[in-house]
Amino acid sequence: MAEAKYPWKDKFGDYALVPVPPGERRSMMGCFLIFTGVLACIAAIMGGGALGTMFNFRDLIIVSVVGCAILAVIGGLTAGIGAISGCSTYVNMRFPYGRIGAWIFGTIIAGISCGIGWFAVQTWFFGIFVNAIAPKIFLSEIWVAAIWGGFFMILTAVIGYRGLAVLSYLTVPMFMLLAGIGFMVAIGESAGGFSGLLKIAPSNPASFVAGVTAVVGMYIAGATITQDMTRYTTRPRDGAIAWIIQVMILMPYLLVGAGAMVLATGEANIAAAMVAIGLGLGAFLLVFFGQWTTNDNNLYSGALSINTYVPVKKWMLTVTLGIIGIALAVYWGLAAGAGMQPFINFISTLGRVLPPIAGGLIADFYVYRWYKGEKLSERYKVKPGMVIPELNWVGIIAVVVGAVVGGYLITWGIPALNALLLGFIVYVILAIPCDKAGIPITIGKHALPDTGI
Amino acid sequence: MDFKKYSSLMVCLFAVLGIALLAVGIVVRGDNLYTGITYAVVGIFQLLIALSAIPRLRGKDGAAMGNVVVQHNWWILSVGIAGLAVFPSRFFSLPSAGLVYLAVAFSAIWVILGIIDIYLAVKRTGARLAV
Repeated sequence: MAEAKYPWKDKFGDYALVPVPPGERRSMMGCFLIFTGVLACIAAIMGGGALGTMFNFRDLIIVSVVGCAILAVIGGLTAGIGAISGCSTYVNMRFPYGRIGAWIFGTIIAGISCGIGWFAVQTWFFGIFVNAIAPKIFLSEIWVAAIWGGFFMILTAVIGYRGLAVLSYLTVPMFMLLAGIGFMVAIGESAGGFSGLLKIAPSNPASFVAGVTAVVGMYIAGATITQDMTRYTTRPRDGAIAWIIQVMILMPYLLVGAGAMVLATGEANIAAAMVAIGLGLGAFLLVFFGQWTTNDNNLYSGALSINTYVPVKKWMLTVTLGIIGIALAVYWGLAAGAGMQPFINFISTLGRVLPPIAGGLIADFYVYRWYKGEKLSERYKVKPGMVIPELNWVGIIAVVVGAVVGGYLITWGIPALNALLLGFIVYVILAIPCDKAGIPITIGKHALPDTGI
Repeated sequence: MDFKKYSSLMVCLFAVLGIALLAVGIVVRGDNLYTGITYAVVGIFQLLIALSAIPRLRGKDGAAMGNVVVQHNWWILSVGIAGLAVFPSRFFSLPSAGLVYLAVAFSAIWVILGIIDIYLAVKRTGARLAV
C-alpha cells in the first residue's frame, strides 16, 4: 500500500508546529542521549551537592530514588503523548488548554522559564565555572565566557534536533565518565575517604519531604516538556522508555555521587575539586560540554513554545532568545551577581506552577480522551483543517487550582506533586461531568491551516 | 575494503584496545589506585561499546548498518576524549611513564579512528550523523 502523502507544510522549520513525519523519526537511543544531555550539567551536580548537606549517605540514596521515581512517572506519561502525536508540548497543549491557553502556558513553561530564564542562568553559570578553572585569562572572564559559551549553545539549538542529538552522542558518555572520576577522586582524597562516608552526618539536616521536593523540583520542567524530544521517536513507547531509563539510572547516579562528594569534602563544586588535583582539562570538558548540552535544549524548547504564536522561522526566534539570555548573563557577570535573588525566587515559583500544567495534560490525554472513546494511537493526531478550541476553561481552572492550592495552600506533602495531582483531579472531575451534562468545556474555534499555526 | 568487513575489523580493534587498557589498569593498581580504576573503567566502557556492536551489526546492510556504526563510534570517540583529557594529568602519573603514554596512545587511536569511522559510515552507507 502506498504511504499517505505528508499533508503539512513545515513553514517555520524543525517541525515546530506540525507533526514530525515518519521518515524523520529517530531512534530511542538518540532520544535517551538528548534527555541525558539535558540532565548532564553542573547544575545537576550542584543540586545533588545541596542534598549532601541535608542527608546522610543512606537517606541520600532513598531521597534521590524516590524523587526520581516520581519524575519517571510524570515524564514517562508526558513522553508517551509526544511520541504518539508527533507534536511538541505546546502544540499538544492546545487540546487540554485551547490555542490561547497553550500560548500562555507554553510561554510560562518554556518561553520564559527555559528559553530566557534558565538559558541565561546556565550561561552565567558557564562563565562562573570557566572563570574558576582558568581565572587569569581574558577569555575566561565571566561575561566574556558567557558570550562565547552562549554562542555555541545557540548554534546547536539553531540546527535543531539533529544538532542536539549529535552533541549529546559526543558528550554524554564523556560527561558521565568525567563526573564519575571527579566524584571518586574527591571522595577518595577527603579525610575520611570512602570508608568514612557512611558515618558522616549532614551539616544541615532536612526532612524526607523537603529532599524529595528538591529532587522533583530540579527536573519537573524537564518532565513536563519531554514531548519536545519524544515527538521524534519512531515507536510510541520509545520516548517513555528513554525518559525512564535516564531519570531512574543516571539522575540518581549524579545526585548520589555529588551528594556523597559534598558529605565527604564539604565542597559542591566538582570542577574546583578536579582543578585542585590537576585535572583542569577534564574539569573544563565537564563544564563546557555539560552546560552546552543542557542549555541548547533550554533554548530549543523556549523557541518552540514561542513559535506557536510568533510566525517567523524558528531559527530567528532561537537566535533572538539566545541573545537576550546572553545579555542577561553578561549583565550578571559584570554586576557580580547583583539582583539574582528575585530571579531565583521566580524560578522557584515556576517549580510550583508548572506541575499542574502537566497534570491537566496527562488527565486530558489518558483519562478524558479514554472516556470519550478515542483510541490511544489516535489521540492528539492533528490534521490540516482540523478545528481546535481557542480556550479550554476546564484546563485553565485545573492549572490555577493546582498551582494555588497544591503549590501554596496545602502545607503537607510535596508541593510539586500536590500541584500536579490537583491539576489532574480537577481536570477529570470537571471535564467528565460537564461532558455528561452537555456543558461545553471549550470556548471558540480555530481551523488549523496546513502550516499548523 | 568492503565497509562491513572494515567495521567488523574496527570493532575487534576497539575491543582489543579495551581489554589491553583494562589489563594495564589491573597491573598498575598497586602503584596508583585511582589510575588503575580509571584505566579499568575506560577499558571496560570501550570493550562493552565494541562488543555490543557485534549483535547489532549482524544481518544489517547499507544505511542501517552505517547507523549502528555511527552510534557506537560516537561513544568510542566520546570516551576516548575523556581518556585523553585525564590520563596525562599528574594525578594519574605512574612510576613507568611508558604505561601512561600507552594509555594516552590508546585514547588517541579511539578518537582518530572514531572520527574516521563516522565519516566513512556517513559517506559510504548514507548513514545519519544523528541516529
